Amino acid sequence: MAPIAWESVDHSLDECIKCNICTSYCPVAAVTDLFPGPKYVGPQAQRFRENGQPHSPDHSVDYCSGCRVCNEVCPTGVKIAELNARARAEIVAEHGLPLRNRLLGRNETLGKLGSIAPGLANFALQNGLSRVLAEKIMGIAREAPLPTWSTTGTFQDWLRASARTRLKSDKKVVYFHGCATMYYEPFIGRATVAVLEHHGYEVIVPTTQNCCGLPLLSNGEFGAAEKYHKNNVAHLSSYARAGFPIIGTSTSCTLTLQEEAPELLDLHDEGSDALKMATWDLFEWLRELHEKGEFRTDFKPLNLVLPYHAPCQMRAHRVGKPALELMALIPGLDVRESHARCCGIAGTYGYKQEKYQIAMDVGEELFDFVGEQGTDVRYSACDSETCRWQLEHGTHLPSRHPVEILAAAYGFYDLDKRELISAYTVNDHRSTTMSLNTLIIGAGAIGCLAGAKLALTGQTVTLAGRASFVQAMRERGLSYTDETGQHIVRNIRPAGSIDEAFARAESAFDLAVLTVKSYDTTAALAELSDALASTGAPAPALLSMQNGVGNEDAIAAVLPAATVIAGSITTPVSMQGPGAIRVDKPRYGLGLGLWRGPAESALFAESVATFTNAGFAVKTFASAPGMKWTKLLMNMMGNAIVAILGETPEQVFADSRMVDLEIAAWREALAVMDKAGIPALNIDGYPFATLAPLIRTAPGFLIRPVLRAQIGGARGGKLPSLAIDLQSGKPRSEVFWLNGAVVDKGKAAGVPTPVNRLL
Amino acid sequence: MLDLLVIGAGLTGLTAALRAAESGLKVKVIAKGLGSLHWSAATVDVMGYPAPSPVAAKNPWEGWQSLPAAHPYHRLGAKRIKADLDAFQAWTVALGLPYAANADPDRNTLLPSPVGAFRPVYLAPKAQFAGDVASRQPMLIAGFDGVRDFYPQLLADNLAAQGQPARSVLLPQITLTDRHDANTVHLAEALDDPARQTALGVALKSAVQPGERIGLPAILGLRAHTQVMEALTRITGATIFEIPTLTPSVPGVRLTAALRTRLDQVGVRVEAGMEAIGFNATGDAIEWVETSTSSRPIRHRARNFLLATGGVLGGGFSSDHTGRFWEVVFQLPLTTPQDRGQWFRPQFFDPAGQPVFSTGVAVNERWQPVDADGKIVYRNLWAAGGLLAGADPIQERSLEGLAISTAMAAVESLTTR
Ligand code: SF4
Ligand code: SF4
Ligand code: SF4
Repeated sequence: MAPIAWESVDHSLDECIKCNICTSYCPVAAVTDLFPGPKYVGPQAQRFRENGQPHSPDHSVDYCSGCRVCNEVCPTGVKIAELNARARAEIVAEHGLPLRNRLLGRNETLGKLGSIAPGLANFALQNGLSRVLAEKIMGIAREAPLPTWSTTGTFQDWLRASARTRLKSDKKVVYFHGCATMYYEPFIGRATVAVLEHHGYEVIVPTTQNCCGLPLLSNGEFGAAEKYHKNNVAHLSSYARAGFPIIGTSTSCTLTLQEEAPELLDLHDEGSDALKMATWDLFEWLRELHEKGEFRTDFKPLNLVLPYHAPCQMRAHRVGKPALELMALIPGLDVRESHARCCGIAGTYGYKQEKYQIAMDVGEELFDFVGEQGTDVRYSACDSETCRWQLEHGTHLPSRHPVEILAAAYGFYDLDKRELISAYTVNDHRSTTMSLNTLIIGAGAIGCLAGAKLALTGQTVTLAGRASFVQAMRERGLSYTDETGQHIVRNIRPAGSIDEAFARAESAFDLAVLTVKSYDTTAALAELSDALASTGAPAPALLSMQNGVGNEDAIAAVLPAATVIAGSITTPVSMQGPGAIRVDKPRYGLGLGLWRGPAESALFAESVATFTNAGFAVKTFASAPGMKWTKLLMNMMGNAIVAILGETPEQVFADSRMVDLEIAAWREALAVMDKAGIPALNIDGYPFATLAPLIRTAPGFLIRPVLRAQIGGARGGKLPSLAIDLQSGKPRSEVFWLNGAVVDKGKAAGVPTPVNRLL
Repeated sequence: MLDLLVIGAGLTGLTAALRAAESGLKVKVIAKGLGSLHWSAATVDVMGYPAPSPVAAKNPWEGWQSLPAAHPYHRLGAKRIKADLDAFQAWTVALGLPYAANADPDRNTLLPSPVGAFRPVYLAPKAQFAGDVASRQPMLIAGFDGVRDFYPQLLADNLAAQGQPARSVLLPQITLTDRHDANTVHLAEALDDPARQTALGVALKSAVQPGERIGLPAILGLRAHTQVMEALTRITGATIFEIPTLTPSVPGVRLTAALRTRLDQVGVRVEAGMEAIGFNATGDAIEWVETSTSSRPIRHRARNFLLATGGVLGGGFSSDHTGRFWEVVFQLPLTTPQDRGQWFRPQFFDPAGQPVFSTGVAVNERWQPVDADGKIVYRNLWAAGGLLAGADPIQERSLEGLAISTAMAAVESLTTR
């Protein structure tokens, strides 16, 4: 047992002027008679305690939760909480410690044990019977918000798995993750690594770090705590001396490394000092970056009301509320600061049966505050894990660490699932150094797909669509379902018109993506050029992701100076309602070709990189017309026929006469292309370049099975866009731009096109 | 970058911060702990005893000729102080914690102190103001069994001895709370509960006699003060008033909370637990103030700095056994004689006050600290409140008047530069 050192706090006793401010603010004294308050158990009772004489006059000091609110408000700087912690240690030295406190003090050991079979451990922990037993035998309150072990592996597991893909850089930081991140909440660690790497820092996670020892300190087990701390000093101080910041995301860990351990254990050796001075709370460190102008603010709007509670341990750092300051920079995020004193849990305090109710009563102030922020609040936020668990317990709302909020705002974290989003592979966000301000015109399936995927990788996206889309977007965000499940994408700015999109833009658009049906192109272009003229904004590059072949020329004619890019998407995606799409087959093929623009167009290159980062399998084509016409061939297939017959593609292709008609139409189209010098290409698994000669010459019975397999299968039972248009009774139809284009081009090239004309 | 860093979160600091924020400055307040408002009755005393006399001044604006020449009031003048206090009163109304003043603006009002003496105040929270002894309306002083530091019998006796008719009643503490051990703040919080308000109202109703007003310790609600007052008035049909208690003082806690809520709304952070341990000046301008943390000190940069740490009692000055006496943040020159022999008069409660209490930081007409030669020490530093030289706010009973008026004057000076 280490001797308890009183020297460093004793002198502060004499500063007490008996003003009782501490007692007025002590959250525990406010709710229970069992605790007479800081002034009494601290400076007052201290007069009766003697160094080395383990006789505390008053065991009620055990009810001090160690929240340090008293230290914060005392006008004369009495270290009351430290006095109390020492007094408790004296009691432990004298009377020993119950098993329960020993267990709760060994967070790390528990973490390791549970991680061996997390499913089982969680079951035992959340199971009513075992909780009753735990309460009876050990006095761990059965209702208390105990954590659950991570069932997706520990943080260490992830570190190992991601070792090769994590950033290597000359700029390095050391991460102290603490027990909670290691065993219960590895996603906090992942978000932290992502945020640090986003700033260009390599993250070193020494495997030799161990528990900071705080739970032992607060349960009065100073001897065991000292071992832990000395081990951390032995393994981490060399990093400190080498000048690496040691960053933590658990405010209790960082406070312990900095101050609690050295002060309570009276360890002031060179190594402890080095560790103390090199340890940072993540947000305090990021705030320093911000002051140097190096903090990244490439945020996507996070439209949330977020009640934030700075935990006692954060306040005990005495560095203000850096997480609050940085979260305030996120657009759309409405952070509401809690002035509640304490959530009640205070580490392991609220787990103890006799203190559970006190902890809940203390927390009421905070729970009420969260409740007062409105019913559409989806999360609360707090830097400390135990406080988050308590918050969730008391408010029934999920609670998040500010680093999760930050990672979400950068666009690489899913706040609901608490994971790095699928599009984030560790290197992605680094190659996304450029960020295009993109306007997508048309909120149909393709517009929503492009918008969702860009937004999910943190690009700035505005999507102009109909009123029903705008309303859906405002109400619940864009619903995007792919092979990984449903995502609600909120960081897209909806606009009811192109005008509105320009009015709401903070900076000029770099890229405008046209996804409206071809028959709406003219109107959209007119609106766009009006908006450009009235705002004086420079023309963005124009990318047409439309079907058919006349759109690029139309764009080029209306915007004579703009870079024009031809695009064609070959992934089956369907609309499930306004602002709701589903990817039917996760191919994400995207062909891009420069239609008009400088040969080494930077905007073209950036578009390619941006869409690649967004998870599209981008293929660039030297011949943009070839790409578009080949896509036309694909779309022609089925579109017109199905529309007219009201059958699904499978039915059509099962009927050989229909296929023959298709083939006839194709043959015409291929002849036109040939004459106009436009090559047929192999696009996204559709081998048109290879098939073209076959289609033009081979007999129908040879072609049919190939087509059936190639196209009928790809589109499946999904109705092509044309059929949907006809079924919903729209007067105009894209048919004119598909078969019609063949007719027009045929006319120009002097090739007869009777079948296309018919269709 | 901040326009203004205020050091100190007492009445001076909070007033200065609010005034500055309202005139458009970006402001932050740092403080070692929560300020002295917690041990004040939260009345605004302007001038109770301008001269060493046992008789309180009827008119706070008179008798100033006996104040030292360096007294800040001479520089401000009555008219300006009145205007500042009007502005302060308007704040309290807007904050839902309205203060009242004597119908005659040239009159102090006498209110009962915690032991039943008469205190000359200028503004007081409405709840206290109804204890004005001028009307001599009889008082029922109600206390509670087991509540520390409030003795209704003693109070009533003292009041009666001074000609204010009063009698007392002692109610069981159980009326307020089930707790055995609660301080004034806890009791006030308990009364936020409407059921407790009713219970107390009923108990008072049966004790009060027609024509009496009821004086209670200042624990009538913490967050729900207005409701408590309304409920008790409604149930008893009598005028209810509060008498301040010893520390912690609930009216002080209420005023702090109200001002901090307002500061929060206008974007001013108040950070407690921040002890200034150093600063840096380049040339004659302060660049930053450093406060201690659990690790590396942090630096607070600002264009201007306002020192509002209070005098000896507020913690703005410190001394050691060698007789050194210093201002704790910027080591500013003080008017305090270095010879300790001159600090105190032989009697601690000498009506002339203690010389050391009227020493402090000397400022020029722009409220900027100056040295013995009258030269500005730092061109972006201002000072206000209890640390200013020339006043003995404790003896004069001018603490809050001085705090508010000098805070407002200093902010005005720094914004009209
Ligand atoms: S707040 Fe500080 S000075 Fe006041 S009673 Fe508590 S310990 Fe003593
Ligand atoms: S540390 Fe918290 S619980 Fe303990 S005395 Fe201080 S304020 Fe009260
Ligand atoms: S404070 Fe940190 S290191 Fe210590 S037990 Fe808790 S999580 Fe582990």
